[in-house]
Amino acid sequence: MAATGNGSLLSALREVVGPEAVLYDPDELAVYEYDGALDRARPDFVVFPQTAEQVAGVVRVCNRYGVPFVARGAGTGLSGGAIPVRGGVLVVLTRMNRIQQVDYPNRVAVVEPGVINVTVTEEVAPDGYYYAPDPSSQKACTIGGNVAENSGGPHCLAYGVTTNHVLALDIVLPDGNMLHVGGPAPDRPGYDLTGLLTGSEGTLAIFTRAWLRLMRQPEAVRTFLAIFDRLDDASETVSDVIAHGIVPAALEMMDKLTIEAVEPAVKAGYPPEAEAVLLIEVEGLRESVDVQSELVRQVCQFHRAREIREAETLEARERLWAGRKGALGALGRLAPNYCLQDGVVPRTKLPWILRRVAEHGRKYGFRIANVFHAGDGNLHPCILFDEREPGATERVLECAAAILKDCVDAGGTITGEHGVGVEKQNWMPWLFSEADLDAMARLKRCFNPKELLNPGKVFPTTKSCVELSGDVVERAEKLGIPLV
Amino acid sequence: MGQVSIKDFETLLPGVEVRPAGPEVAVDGHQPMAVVLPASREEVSALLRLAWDRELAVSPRGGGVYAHLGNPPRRLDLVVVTTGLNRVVEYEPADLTAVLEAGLTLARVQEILGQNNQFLPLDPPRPDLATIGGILATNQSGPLRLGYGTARDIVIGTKTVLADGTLIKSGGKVVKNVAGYDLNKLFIGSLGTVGVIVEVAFKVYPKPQAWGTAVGHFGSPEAAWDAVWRLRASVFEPVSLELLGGTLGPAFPADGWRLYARYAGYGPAVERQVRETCGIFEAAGGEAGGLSDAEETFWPALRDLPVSWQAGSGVGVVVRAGMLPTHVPEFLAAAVADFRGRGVGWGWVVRAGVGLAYGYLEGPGNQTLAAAVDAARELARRLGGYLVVERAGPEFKAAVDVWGPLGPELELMRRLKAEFDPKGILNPGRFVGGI
Repeated sequence: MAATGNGSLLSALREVVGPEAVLYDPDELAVYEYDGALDRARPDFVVFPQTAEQVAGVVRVCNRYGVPFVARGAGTGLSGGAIPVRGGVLVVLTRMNRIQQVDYPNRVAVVEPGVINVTVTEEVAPDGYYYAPDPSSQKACTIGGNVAENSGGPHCLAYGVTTNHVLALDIVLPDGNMLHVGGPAPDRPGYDLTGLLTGSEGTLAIFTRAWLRLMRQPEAVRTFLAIFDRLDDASETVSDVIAHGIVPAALEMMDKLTIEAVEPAVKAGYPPEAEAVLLIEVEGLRESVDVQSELVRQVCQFHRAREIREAETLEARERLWAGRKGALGALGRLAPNYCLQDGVVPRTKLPWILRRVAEHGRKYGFRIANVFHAGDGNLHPCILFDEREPGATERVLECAAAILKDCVDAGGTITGEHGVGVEKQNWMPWLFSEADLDAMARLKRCFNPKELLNPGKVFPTTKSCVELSGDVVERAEKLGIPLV
Repeated sequence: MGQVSIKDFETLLPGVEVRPAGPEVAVDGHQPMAVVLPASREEVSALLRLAWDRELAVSPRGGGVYAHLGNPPRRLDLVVVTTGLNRVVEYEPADLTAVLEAGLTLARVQEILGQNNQFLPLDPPRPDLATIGGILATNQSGPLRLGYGTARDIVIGTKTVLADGTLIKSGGKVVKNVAGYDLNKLFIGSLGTVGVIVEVAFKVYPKPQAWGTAVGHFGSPEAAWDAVWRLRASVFEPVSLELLGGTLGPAFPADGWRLYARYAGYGPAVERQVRETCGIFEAAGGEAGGLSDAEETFWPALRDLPVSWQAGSGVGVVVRAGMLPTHVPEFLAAAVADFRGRGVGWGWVVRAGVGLAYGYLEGPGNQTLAAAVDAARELARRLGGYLVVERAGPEFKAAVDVWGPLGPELELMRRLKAEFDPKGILNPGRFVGGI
């Protein structure tokens, strides 16, 4: 851990990325101690590399000093994947934000990790293309973070999640070596390293470039809002639409509490007295969209939809979607804090799990709003609370655990698109045996044997996060890091 | 091998079916001592534990459709045939998911799903023989690849027995799941070198109501490629788009280049796409028309071609080149010119929207053929692609590494192999870089 000839860790980092691209003032670091989840941990340094070579340089410096490092995009993650639970260097990739190439005949876009999700689609939309994975945070979240978390989004129902749209990656390994993995040529021989890296939650490598699949915009899109007086009717509609052989482009559900929050904030036109609404989008060629729309209407009516509205204009469509994509922000108005979960159940278990969520809310004394990717069976129960109330945070986590345990018992999982991170690591044994986890650990050892990259994530641990994020100076001293 | 005899299995693995091996399970001329036919994943686990303890080299096998893929094994003691693992573990049609044992054939799976008007959108060769596990391990796909992707896009969970006999699961049985590393991706395409897949959970799909195919006949490859780009720039989304040229055997015409665009979905949409695709083909200078009974004759024949094709009087190999779709025309032109100079006969089936070109090559002898394959591989490599020899005889394989060279990523792959199979008992030597 001894410093090398050219002095401190700070000066070594400055040498790689330039003096302006390193933060270490505790006030400036405070912004980087959290992401979109509840846990916090403060880095010792934040660096802003602008090239893959600089990323590799930073990683080599961290190796030389034996300090942990964590990659971060926009910090919108919902499982604590980007917080440095053991301190060290936070590698923020937002300055690597160029779309390097767009290739329509091959339907590929080559982008740096700091590119914001929606800008890929914005770049190619005028030419009739788009990038399919569309997390609700798509106006802020970065592609690098999406690949790390294998992010989803409403339109993943028909087109799959991020892993189905990443063709190749440039990476920096935890030892500082740079490597290209995957295509863009299809089905390259060898193990599918791109597939293993996607969704590895920033624990195997840092991505410095991604080759993304572009899709052709459909000829026609029709968007419906189906309004229900009973939650059960809405959730039964969801499984029945799927059972009818219709795979809509999106099939989203919001319950009464969500509608109450969304309407005043977004004015999406959701009726405040409804128990639930479904946002259903079908797309494709005109002819198939017409057939699917008719089927969707019939299924909704069969399940006693009070009203089915269709967005007649692009503006109307965007307003309906603004409600869905703004839902989480709007929920912030209902309570000082919320805990957002991400369980998945088989689609036929939706009515059951929604009843269970309501029961858990009553039992623990919280209001729970439901806004989720119903077509995938991916629920996002949002538990509203006030952290100033003594014991509330602990009870919220218990309530969340109870809901996710039910998801697992129903044959589902604890996270569909947000990642395990630090938040859910100790619930992994509900899903995986020691042997399963050991196999994952073998994979990790191949990439990250010294565990300097993003330590303390995904795998169950006995230490709590709070315990780890102690005083910066004290920890630095313990690690033998010269701070300046 | 010496350490175990067939007789020993009766005591070491009571109840597991073990047979002396015949030539039908030989791998590139290497004959194992025995064939083991486990009937459950517990039996797979028990037998791998035994192989692990005694360091017996094991080659997993499904229906044997792609047993010819890979380099010759460094050693081989046991072939494990998984066709006894043939149960449907769980199938809930309304969830559009199915959990299947890996030894089920694809045809049997389609039959079961078909009862609920659903299907698995995978069409590798010989579904009557190919097992789910074999399809995953060899990562085989077929003409539907353009529309539906490969196994990695529809697999949501796997259970696998590792080299030391440990049973592990990855993923689950719901369509979205990011809990833990996605080890499914490790096993898909691994050629059985890191574990034996025993159970697979899939996303399944509603069967399209209608299918339709348009075919265009072009005088030159340039005109055919013009049609490809025009079609790809349109809003039409063919599920298959295959360009055929050269000599491909009696089932396929050998004059000029033919482009087949196949559509699936609701009737009126399929009809319109076939009609307008014919217009696009004509605009590119082709003769075009709809192809009736394509689902019953043309597509199954094309699907099976990688294993049904036979060379004439000479020596034959089947190769697969992969690159970005726009690089394929240059690759084909150069490769064809090179083959003509060497007296090597050729036929190509190009998955045109994907960037895969299957070459059916015939030469007077292994040496000529090997030189032609090396030349084509170098052409592919210069265009950012690769070339794999999918089918060849043992003499050919003695001269050519079927996978071709890999880049620095091979080091990571070796580490993966060392972590998951440190004794090297699973298919030793058959995969990339001697893994």
